[in-house]
Amino acid sequence: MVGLTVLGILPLMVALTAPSVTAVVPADTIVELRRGDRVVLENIEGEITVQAWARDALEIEGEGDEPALIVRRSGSTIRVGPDERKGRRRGLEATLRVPEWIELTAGGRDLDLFVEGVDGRIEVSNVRGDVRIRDVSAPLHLRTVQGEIDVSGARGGVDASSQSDDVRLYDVEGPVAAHSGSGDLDLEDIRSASVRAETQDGDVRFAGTIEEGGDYRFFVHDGDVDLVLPSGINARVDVSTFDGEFQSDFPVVLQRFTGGRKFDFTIGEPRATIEIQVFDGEIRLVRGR
Amino acid sequence: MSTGHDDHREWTDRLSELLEGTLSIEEHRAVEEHLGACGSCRRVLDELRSVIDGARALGPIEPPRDLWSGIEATIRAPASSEAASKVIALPGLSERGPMPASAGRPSRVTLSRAQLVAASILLVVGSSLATWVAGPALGSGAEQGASATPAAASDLVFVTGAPAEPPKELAEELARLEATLAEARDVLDPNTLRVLARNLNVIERAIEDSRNALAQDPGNEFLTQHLDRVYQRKLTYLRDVAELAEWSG
Repeated sequence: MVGLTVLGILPLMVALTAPSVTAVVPADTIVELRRGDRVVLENIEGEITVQAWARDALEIEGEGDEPALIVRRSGSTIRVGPDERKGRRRGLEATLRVPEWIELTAGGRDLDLFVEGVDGRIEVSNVRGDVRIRDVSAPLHLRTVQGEIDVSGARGGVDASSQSDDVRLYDVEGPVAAHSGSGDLDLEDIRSASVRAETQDGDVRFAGTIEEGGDYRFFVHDGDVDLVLPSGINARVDVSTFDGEFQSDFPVVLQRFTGGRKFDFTIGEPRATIEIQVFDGEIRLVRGR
Repeated sequence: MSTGHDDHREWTDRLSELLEGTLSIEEHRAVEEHLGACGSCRRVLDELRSVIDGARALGPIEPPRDLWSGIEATIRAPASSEAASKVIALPGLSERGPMPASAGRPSRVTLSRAQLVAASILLVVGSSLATWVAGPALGSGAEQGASATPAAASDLVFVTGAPAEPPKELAEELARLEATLAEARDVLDPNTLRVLARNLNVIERAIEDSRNALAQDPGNEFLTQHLDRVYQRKLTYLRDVAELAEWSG
């Protein structure tokens, strides 16, 4: 277990260099970090903004006297959480500044999280709360039971799941896996050779490139699928529906009917695979720019 | 799907060719031999004959939607090289419905389920254009042109033993996780529980939809896969919830 050292009156700079140290930090506290450290935000309820800066340090900036957060180092892991001696705190608001290279993990019962400019891997597991990520370059793994996920500018791929709400991914490179239980999936400006999007009760919209050797799969139980695809793509398209309709801007050469609900065709050459399965909903292939 | 299913589909694919008289003598003999031993294929063959006879009796069918002109032109046109290679070319047709923003829409192909039904029938009636297997629900929900599909078409099935229930191991895992979720009621706050229950209902509804559909169409490969995927989704969800409950406890 991590040893507990409470710093009552805090110096401006808190150096948590010992293997296992805990500090309660007020606003405007800076904690030195080393390359290879990772920051874990745990059990914080409220709104946290995490922004990258050029220093190898963690700064916590709160509203007024807040936040009463505990910072603990255990090896290379820096844990930031509420000071539970003060009881359960709701509605904490804080801004954390972290090195660009930091690896970040966050989990909470009720946490709105905004992360910007971080190049390390980011993992979020939230019960409730929105997750917004901007301009990052390592893989993202984002899960929330209730809350929207909004990613813009991701260079390392995204794995995002919201059980109840929408997932929006914009300007993403790398593998994409998006899921929603009962929300829409809006995937815009996606440059990936691997896309999987699945929702039980919602619509899927995809606009992006279709790369040679790429694999693109869209699964919807009750909802529509709109794919905005570039002219001149080369792909085999497999369509399955139980009770749906199909529209295409692209000329369709049917190669196989199976029961009127499963068919496939090729646009150009079969150099990529697009699979669309909709139980009940419309499927539209739209010619993009 | 299973190899057995694929093998069987090969035979059912051959049936339309048998009726169209496009099989070689050797293929014809092989199909006849198979029919002698396979009651399922004999039923499919009978139903295919019914579909053809029914469609012939009805004369031209004109689905109201825009796909029709393309299909009609394809079928009425002299056999093309594409037709000879058993491919239906559907050139871009008219536009319909609101669409997401796109730059230029020179053409669009629209295939509603009913139109696919009509297309399927006409393929058999008019030419040797496509390989197809008729499915059971074709006649039931297709309001446009569906009258062209004899009711007996609902028997056009090859059964693969599609699971309506999850496999035993999966069922056990689901039961265990559901028990965990029940215990979590004391741990999680009411709002969270409400959300979890609502999400679970969405998945349960998808399972129910899929199972009902499979009951109508037990040989449907898509439905089998779809149901399996929804079960897997339920499993993932319950695992997440169990983790959440443990974490919150």
